[in-house]
Amino acid sequence: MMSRFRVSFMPWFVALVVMFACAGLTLAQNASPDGLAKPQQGFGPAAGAASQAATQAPAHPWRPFLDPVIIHDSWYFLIIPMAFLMSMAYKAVRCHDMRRYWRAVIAMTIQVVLGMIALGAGFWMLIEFVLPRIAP
Amino acid sequence: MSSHQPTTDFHPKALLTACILPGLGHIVRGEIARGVYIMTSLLTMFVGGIFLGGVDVIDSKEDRVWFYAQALVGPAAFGVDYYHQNHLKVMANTTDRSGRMALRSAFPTEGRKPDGTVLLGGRPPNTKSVGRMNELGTLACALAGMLNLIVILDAGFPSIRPRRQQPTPRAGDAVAAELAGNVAISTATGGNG
Repeated sequence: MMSRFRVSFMPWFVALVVMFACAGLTLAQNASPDGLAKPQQGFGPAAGAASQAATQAPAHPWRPFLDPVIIHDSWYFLIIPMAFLMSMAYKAVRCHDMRRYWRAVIAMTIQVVLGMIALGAGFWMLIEFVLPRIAP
Repeated sequence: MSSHQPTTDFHPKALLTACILPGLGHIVRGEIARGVYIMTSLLTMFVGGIFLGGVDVIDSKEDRVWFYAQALVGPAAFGVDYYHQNHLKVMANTTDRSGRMALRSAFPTEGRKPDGTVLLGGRPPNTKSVGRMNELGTLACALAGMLNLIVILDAGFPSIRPRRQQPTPRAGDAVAAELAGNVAISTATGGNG
C-alpha cells in the first residue's frame, strides 16, 4: 500500500518541485534588488511608455510592502504559488481524510496550472487563427 | 439511514473566531492541522499580495469593489486599509461627498508631512502600483478573502465528516457471512443444524 502510494505520489511531487524551481529562477533573474526590473521588452506601445516613465522616475531604494515588486517580464509564473496556496486552502476544507491532503493539493495545483495553460493556448489559437478567418 | 439525519453542524464559537483570523475557527473546533493549513495558505496569499503590489492593493476608497472581497480576510484587511488611508495618503485639494478633505495617493515627486499635507519634492510614502503587479496583488488578496468565506462557513456549519471510512459491504459479503454463520451453528450442534 505504502509503495503504491509513493509510486503514484512521486511524479506529482517532482512536477511541482520543477515548476516551483523554474518560476523561482525566472523571477530571481528578472527582479533587481531595488525592485525596478530591467527595461521591459514589452508587448506593445504601452509597455514601452511605462518602461520609459520608470527610467525617468527618481531612483529610490525599494521598500517592501510599500513599493510594488516589478517583475513584468515574468508575472505569469506567479500563477504557480497562487494556485498552490489556493489549493492548500480549498483542500483543507474539502479533504475528509487528511492523510491524502498533500497529494490532493499537489494534484489540484497541477490541474489548475495545466488548465490555465490550456486556456491560454486556446485563446491564442482563437485570436491568431480563428478570428482572422471569421473577420479578416 | 434516515433521510432526516443532519449533514451539517453549528459551532457559533468557531464561526466567530474564524471571522477574526483565517483558520482559527477550525483550531478552536479541534481540527488543528486543518486550521494551520488554512491559516498558513490564506495569510501567505494575503501578505504575498501586498508584497507584490504594495500596500496600494488594499484601498477601500479607490478600489471599493475589490475591497469587498478583500475584507472577508477579516480585521487584517481593515487594519491595512486604515493604515493606508490615514498614514500613507495625502490630502487632496478637494472635498469628498461628505464634505471632508479628500485623500489621494502621493505623486512620485511628492512627500507627506505628518499632518497629511503634501510635501513638495519629497519621496511618496508608498508607490502607487500599476499594471500587472497591481492586478496580481489585488487578485491575490481578493482570492484570500473569498476563500476565507468558504472557510468561515465550514468552521461555523461544518459538514459531519465520517471518523473513519468503513468499506461498504457488498452483496457477496453478506452471503458469505451468512454461510459462515450457518457453518458455525452446524459445527456447534454436531452437524444437525
